Amino acid sequence: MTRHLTEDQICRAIAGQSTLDERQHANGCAECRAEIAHAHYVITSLRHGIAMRAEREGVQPAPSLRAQTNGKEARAWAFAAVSMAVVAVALIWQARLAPPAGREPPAEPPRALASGHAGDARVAVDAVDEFYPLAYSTVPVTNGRIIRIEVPRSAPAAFGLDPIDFVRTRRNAVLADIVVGEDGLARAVRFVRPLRDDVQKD
Amino acid sequence: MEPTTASGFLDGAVEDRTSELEDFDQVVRSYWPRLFRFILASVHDSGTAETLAQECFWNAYRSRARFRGDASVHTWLVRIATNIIRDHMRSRRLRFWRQTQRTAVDSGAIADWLPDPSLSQEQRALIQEQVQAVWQATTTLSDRQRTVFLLRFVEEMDIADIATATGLTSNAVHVHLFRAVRAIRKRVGSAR
Repeated sequence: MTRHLTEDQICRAIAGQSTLDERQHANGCAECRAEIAHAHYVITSLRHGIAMRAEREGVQPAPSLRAQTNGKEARAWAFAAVSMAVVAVALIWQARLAPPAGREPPAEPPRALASGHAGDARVAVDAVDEFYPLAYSTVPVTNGRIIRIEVPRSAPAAFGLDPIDFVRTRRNAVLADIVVGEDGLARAVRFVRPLRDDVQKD
Repeated sequence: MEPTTASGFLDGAVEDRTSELEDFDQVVRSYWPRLFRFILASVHDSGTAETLAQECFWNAYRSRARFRGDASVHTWLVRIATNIIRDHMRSRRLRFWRQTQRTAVDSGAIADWLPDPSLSQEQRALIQEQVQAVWQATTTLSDRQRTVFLLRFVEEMDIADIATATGLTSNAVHVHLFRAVRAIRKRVGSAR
């Protein structure tokens, strides 16, 4: 009785890893030899099938790397140009808004009129109103600006002030001026009082 | 026989950038068919294979300065390709649902070619069926088993080059190759 190669031995033979004894057996055993040859035939067919398919699918000339490079470089340059433009606009914008270098924030409150937020009322900052220090007031600042914003009506109360004394906006808020340093931290706040008597009060 | 036109460029012989690109275009033209075939065999989709092949050559172009010439250009490119294919397979597994790919290669098309025209109709049908089964079975292999199997039997690379291309030891390549063959035969069924 002839003992044929086991399945693992056949697998080793297909993979080209047979031992000398296994190769000798395969040479002398028609059945095992045919089994291995059949497997190789299937693999060869697969290889040619893939090659034929790849040749058919990939027949178009390979895209030029130059085209890819130019495309990527063009996108990179476009991105850089847009970034530079954004930075330039930001710098111009900042230069227009910022006070001249070395100048402290104005000690006297501006007489600028605030309109819109306070409804139809035209209001001005009370000249005698004072700034109240905030948490970052001790952080040194070399340059800053005053920004007018709306704050909740409870904000003046936090400083011992009565909200009724200040300008009330349509959203039932209070106008306030915030001193903001160049680092973006708020240093002080003051609340906007009505200049004239025709401003709506509670 | 591998083209040798690329080795001079990759050794840094060409300094001018334009000529580098021209030479690398030659590299692309020379190795594109083999890389595309290997990637196609790995991903079973011609559209994806083309995309990954382009990515492979683009990565090769960017990292050409790191090519030391320890291995052949083809082996170096195959190594880049295996990494790209592995990343692609991983990202595909993370998708909850997959879109049916229009450019997927069906197994019937792979089995079209038969080397021996003298086979009977029954024999041809049997072989074609088994070729289709092996083609499908490669998708069930692990990444390493599939890569080693395809590099050995489709690309006909020797064990040392496969080891270099995959970063495995020769012994590990032997093990993965044996396991791949056994897994495929288990799935396809032996002729006995």
